[in-house]
Parts: sequence; C-alpha cells; structure tokens
Amino acid sequence: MMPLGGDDGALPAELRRRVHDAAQAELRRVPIATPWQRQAGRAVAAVLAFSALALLVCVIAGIGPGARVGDKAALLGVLLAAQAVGIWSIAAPFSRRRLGAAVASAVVAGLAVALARAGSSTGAGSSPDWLCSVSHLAVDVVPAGVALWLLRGGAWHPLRAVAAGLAAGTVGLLVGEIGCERGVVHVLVYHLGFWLVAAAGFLLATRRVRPRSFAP
Amino acid sequence: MRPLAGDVSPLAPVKASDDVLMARFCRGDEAAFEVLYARYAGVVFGFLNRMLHDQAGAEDTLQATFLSFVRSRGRYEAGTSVRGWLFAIAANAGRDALRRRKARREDLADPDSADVPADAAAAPDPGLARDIEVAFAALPAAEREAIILHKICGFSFEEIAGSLGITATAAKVRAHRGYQRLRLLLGETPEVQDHAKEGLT
Repeated sequence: MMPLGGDDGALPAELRRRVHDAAQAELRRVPIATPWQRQAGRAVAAVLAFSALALLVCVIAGIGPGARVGDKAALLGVLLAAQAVGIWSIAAPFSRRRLGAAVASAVVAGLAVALARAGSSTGAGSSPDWLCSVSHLAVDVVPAGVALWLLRGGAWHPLRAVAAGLAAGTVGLLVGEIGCERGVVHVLVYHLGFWLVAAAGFLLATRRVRPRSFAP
Repeated sequence: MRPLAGDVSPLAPVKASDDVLMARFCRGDEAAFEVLYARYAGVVFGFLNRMLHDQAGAEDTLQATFLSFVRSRGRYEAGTSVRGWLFAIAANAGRDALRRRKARREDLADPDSADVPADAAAAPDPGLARDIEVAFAALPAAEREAIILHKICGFSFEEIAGSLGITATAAKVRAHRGYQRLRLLLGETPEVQDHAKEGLT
C-alpha cells in the first residue's frame, strides 16, 4: 500500500510488465477499433429486424391480421422508435442526457400503449391473462440478449440498465399490441405492468454481471 | 517499439499529445499505446491503490483498467480528455472492485481490517499516518474518488466531472463532503489537520 502522499510512479516493474503484456495481447487480437456508432447501428438494426420478424410471424400465424398492423401503424412506429433510441443510447458512451431521452421515449411509448386502449372494456379472452406476459417474456429474450451484450461493453450504471431493460421490453409490447385485443385493465397489468417488472428484473440481474469493459 | 507511420524518429510519439496518440492507438498503433501506457500506468495505479486501499486489488484493477482501455477504444469520442477518459475507466473498475469486495462482506471501514501501509508505519508519526489511512479508507467511495483526483492527481473539478459523469458542482460537493468527513474522523485539533493535509498532498 502506498502512502497517501506517495509517488504515483511507484508501479512495481513486474506488475508494469504483466499489465502491459496483457493489454498488448488484447490490442494485437483486435488491432483496429470499431467505432461505437457502427456497433450501435448494427445493434439497432438487429433489434428492429427482430421486431419486424416477430410482427411478420404474428401476421402469418393469424395472431395479428395485416389490417390490424396497418391500423396501428402510428403506435407501432412509436414503439419501434423507442426501441431504436433505447438500444442506441446503451451502445453509446455514457451520457445522462442520451439515456434520459431513451427512458423518456420508452415512457412515452408505454403511455401511448395505455392511451390506445383507454375506454375499451376488459374483454374476456379464450386464453388466460398471464399467457400475454409469458409471450412478452418469450419475445423479449433475443432483444434482451442484445441489450445485455451492449451493457457488458461498458461500465454498469443503473440508468443504462433501466434503459436497456425498457428498450428490450418494447418488442413484447409491440407483439402484444398486435396479438391481444383485450381491454385497458388487462394491458395495464399484463402488458405494461409486466414490462416494468421485466425491466426491474433486468436491472437487478445485470448488476452482478461482470462487464467486458469498464469504459463509460 | 515499432515506429509510427510518418514519424521521422521513433522517439517522436513520446512528445505527441494525448489526442494524437489516442487517434493512432484507435487505428491499432502499438507504439502510441506504449507511450500512453508509460505516461499513465503509474498514476492510475496510485489512484487505484488509494481508492481500494488494497495492493492486490489495485493490481487486478489496474489490469482490468488497461484491458478496458484497449477493448473500448472505439467508445472514445475525439475531443474528450484522454486522461479523463482513462481515469473514468479506472474509477468504474475501482467501484466495481469495491462493490464485489463489499459483497464478500469485507468491511473496509473497520480499522482492524484496514491495511496499514508499510510506508505509513515508517513515517515520523506512524500512529497518525495510520489514522489518516484508516480515515481515508472509511470515506464513501464517491468522496474518496473526488479527493484523490483533485488533491493527488491534480484534476480540475471540470476534469473530475468529465471523468465521473457528473457536474463540476457535484464534484466540488463530493470533495467538500469528503474533507468534512475526514475532519470529523480525524478530530478537530489543528495539529492533526495539518498532518492530514500534508499526508494528502
């Protein structure tokens, strides 16, 4: 242990060499850095493509008729935009403003989903209510994996983790919007409520995950 | 060391600015990395040593810091202070190490468990030096970081703000609170205060 007023350059030679060799080996492994913008662009494209695929599967399987997709185009656009902003912000270097915008866009998307169902009564479905939450979870796995991979690329921060969890969960909201016609109470509890719980779970789960890098 | 493309002398990068070196490093230039490493490895180790109050932990965290520096150079935004960015990585790695250590239920603030530096024991007043070390280790990590970066590494509050992702005002508040807490921990006698200031600078 170095005294508080000690020499900053007192780095043991063996340690200096060990750390240097490890860093140099890493540099030789990947000599050219990929700019974060390119990485973020790829991640956004991957998640949006997955969302489009999920919608396509819903339409083909008859879960959400193509006409319904057309009717809800504006709402789906808001959800896709929130997804893109969220994924971009967690791939980018840490910025409270950028992450704040991501969380705000997710909140706007959530409110839009709730308002779109406002006034509609709770219709009885043939399947149990919780099935919507399970479906939500199932389609969120892939975007959550992308979000986790991006999160591990930088130092963990609660705001990044919340933005990541919300962005990944919007895919579930998107599919729920097409595949479920139940009323506002069901959407508030089993869609939006579950979305928030899943984001909180993502926050807690990622806290213990060791990042690949501690960069901001 | 491999000469830099376009440089007349292989010694030229030693005089290059951090920004120039970082740009070359991002393009995979090992020589640029060598210079940045030589410039900052020691001071980052000093920062981590003081932050973690644990030699072995500081060694591991130094390696994590420089591995992150290499892996994440694509996240560096041109125009930002290289030193500030590197210390941001070190601070994040240090905080992670502290969090993991806390999770292992090791109490850093416990005077009985705090490491006593050999140099402190050899100081003119080893008891006081030990008190300062223990009081410093008992500070919350955020306050300790602000004091180390400001008082020991010579960062301005604006630079600290950039490194820690906070505002300059918040950095000042953290340092101020840290000094207040140190005063409380060390007692209010002028003699102790003078020694503490010397110890920190």
